[in-house]
Amino acid sequence: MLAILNAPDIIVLLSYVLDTPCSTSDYKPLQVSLPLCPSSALPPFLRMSSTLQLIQRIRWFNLAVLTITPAIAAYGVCVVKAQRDTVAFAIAYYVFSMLGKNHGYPKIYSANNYYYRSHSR
Amino acid sequence: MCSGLSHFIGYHRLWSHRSYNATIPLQVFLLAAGASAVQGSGYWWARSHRSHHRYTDTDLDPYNGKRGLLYTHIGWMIIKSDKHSGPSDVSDLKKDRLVQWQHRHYFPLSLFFGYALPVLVPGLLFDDWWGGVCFSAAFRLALAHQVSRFFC
Repeated sequence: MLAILNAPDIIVLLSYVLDTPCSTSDYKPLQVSLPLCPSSALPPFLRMSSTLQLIQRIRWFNLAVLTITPAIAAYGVCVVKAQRDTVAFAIAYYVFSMLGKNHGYPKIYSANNYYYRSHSR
Repeated sequence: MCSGLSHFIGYHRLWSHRSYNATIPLQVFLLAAGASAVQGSGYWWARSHRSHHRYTDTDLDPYNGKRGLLYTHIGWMIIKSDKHSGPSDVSDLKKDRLVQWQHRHYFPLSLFFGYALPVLVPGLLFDDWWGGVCFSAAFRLALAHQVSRFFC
């Protein structure tokens, strides 16, 4: 887990969101602007705070899906008694999901569609 | 790009089902499986993924590696960026009626295959509703999200 959350990544991510200079990457920071009026045109006390800019950029629906789902999973691991049949079904359904995402989407529809089509007719 | 058990099974399945008759049912199966992973419609995903392969690690790559592991793992999903995916040729997918149907009805499909079905099956068959909610729906989906974002 430490490898995922190493400091340079967090600095790079925040630098895009908060429009601050970033020395750990050659990528230029995002130009964040207000909906009606660029923040540089406003007097300092009316400029949006960095936190507000971050909040404006969050895709709340995606964030909810990606936090509530693991939260329910963690609750289940701690509280719900695992039944053998359910766990077996969960493993089978996991394989089903991964087949669609990792082999249907890339192999047929992105990367390998020519191969697939030429051999399936 | 992808690895492990499902790599083997996917290749095996795709390359062993070459008959035209198997194509439509196989596509339906894979589109249903794709909806169950709750990671976007096949059309949306393939469009982004083609941009990613065409413009790897540039401003036009939706998961540009130069923006850091945290961004390519999860940031691109939850933060609106000013950089947009570069154009890619998806004319074949626009003509594909199955892919377009899944794209149009993606939200209810992912709700059904991602959450409802994995709750209903253990609930109705084993009378284990909470196990369905927590393990085959939430735990399975959270694991699929994390794993496929590392490998794809």
